[in-house]
Amino acid sequence: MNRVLVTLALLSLTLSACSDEAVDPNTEATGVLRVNVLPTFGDDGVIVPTTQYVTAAGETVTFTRIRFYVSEFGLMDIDDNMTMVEGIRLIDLFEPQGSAISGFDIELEPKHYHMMNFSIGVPESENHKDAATQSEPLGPNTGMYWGWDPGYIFYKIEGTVDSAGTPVTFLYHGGEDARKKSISLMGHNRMNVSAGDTTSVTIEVDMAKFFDQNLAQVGLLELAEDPSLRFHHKGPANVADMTARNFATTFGIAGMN
Amino acid sequence: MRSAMIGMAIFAVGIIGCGDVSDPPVSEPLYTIEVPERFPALTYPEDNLPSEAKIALGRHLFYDPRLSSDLTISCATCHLQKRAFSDTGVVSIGVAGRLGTRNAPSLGNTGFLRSWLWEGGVRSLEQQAIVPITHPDEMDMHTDTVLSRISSDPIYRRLFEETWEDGEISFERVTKAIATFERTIISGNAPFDRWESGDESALSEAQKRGREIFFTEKGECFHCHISYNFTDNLFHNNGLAETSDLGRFAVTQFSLDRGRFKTPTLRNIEVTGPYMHDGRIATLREVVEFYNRGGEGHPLTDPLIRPLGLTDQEIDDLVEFMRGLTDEEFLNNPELSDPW
Repeated sequence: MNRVLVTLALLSLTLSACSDEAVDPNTEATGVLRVNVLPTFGDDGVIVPTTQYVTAAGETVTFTRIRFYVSEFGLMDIDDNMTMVEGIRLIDLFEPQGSAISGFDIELEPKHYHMMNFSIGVPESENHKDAATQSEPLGPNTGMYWGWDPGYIFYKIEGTVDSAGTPVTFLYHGGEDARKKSISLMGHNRMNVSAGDTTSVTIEVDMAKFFDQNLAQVGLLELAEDPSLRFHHKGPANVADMTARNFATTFGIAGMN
Repeated sequence: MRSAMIGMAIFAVGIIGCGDVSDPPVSEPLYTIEVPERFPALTYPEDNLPSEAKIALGRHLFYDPRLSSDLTISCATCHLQKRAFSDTGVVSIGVAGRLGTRNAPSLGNTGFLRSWLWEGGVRSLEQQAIVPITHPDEMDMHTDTVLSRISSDPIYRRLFEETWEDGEISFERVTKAIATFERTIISGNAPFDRWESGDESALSEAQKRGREIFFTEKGECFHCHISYNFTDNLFHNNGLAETSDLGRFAVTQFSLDRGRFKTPTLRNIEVTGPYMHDGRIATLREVVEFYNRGGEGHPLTDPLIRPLGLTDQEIDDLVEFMRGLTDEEFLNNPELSDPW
């Protein structure tokens, strides 16, 4: 990956963050872990919307939207104690606004943390509630709710694919309880949260990996040209399973400071 | 309202939000929505019991185009009382002329259903109300805008205060009120019902002949269009040629559900055309002719759909019988009409 681009992006990243406490409110000294999320494409570095990238299968793609729910966020310290952070967050890598954010702050007990766990999706306990009773980032206003079969769209990956001169839109919208994916990222003791300080960690979402597995083998253009495969809710199951699985492989820790 | 008779009556997880758990209604006797003879009692969600005030509030919301982004579309725009609360178009037209993909079904007796929308994915009327209000091709509203608009209207402030002691206006209460009004959209006084109650003159001779076809294997209709509401509340593939709309399959991912759609009520079917989930058949007679041909050859067609061999006279009689399901009192009930 072009680390220079990523580093520049990290430096220039403006957070639209929301803060959460994962500490005993009576604890006086806390630190902040700032989590930034950044879209990348293999060695090409940070994704710029509408810029063209070439997949492993040789198809040229652009991205217009990468938006997803993160939930069940937890951090494990070096003694293997897990600190869970409440809340569900809606991450939008290109248009963070309103309740959609590109990063967030977590107030934590000062410690060395070595692993980060989270899920892509909405827990089943919240996924099928009456959306009129839920607040953002859940509810019917974020464009992430399927009202016709109530539940949330866990991720939207949208863009164009072009292998013959004419861009064709692709839209992968995935959900369903069984497709909520758990992610574990190792920080190797470098997530050192100190009292009164802010530690930043950047999660990269490498979309080259999204197309570098089964999805690319099927043929992105083929998928894009068949409307029944583009808007998958629960299926066709193979496509929905594939995109959920591939998307889960894109996450990694790009840097900390 | 004819049917309305008084009887005796989250916590927020982090940033997730909270439900209206207590939801205290204004103290008043419990309210029972009266139903026709031979109908079962209506059931209500425990957290959304009906009241006169809530029905009135829901009725105002149902007919209010301020619930759409460009102020042009209300629930009633696509659910016209004169059409048994269905639409006249092949598919419904939303804000800015945006076309939907389905024919708006009749809301007659909708409170008796077990699921909503043609593929049946929605399991409560309250959740159903969210769909058209927020769908980009229908009313295209942000719920905050809904609340902002109705909060500025003293009529709504009064209606909410009459319905809930604290008078709080929330989107959850908007959908609850609309659902409550929709439960009062009840039709059960057609000529067929009067005939069932012993009035031999309520049906014509042609309608009686049509009834014989309807309720026997000659027409096969009664297998799906059964009971007081002329629906089995199930999903069937009735032999329509397949399109990209896969119906129930989208909900279940069960391969045999491809092309299955929910059986609609036949009450007031005379006025709810065009027909089928996508409005592809214009007239009631053409619908009967479609079934008489045994459908359009979908590979997963229900075995009940087969060439029937009905004569032109029998087709006419069957259509006449279904005209006997038209409830004029319902279509003209002032208590279901636009209150504004």
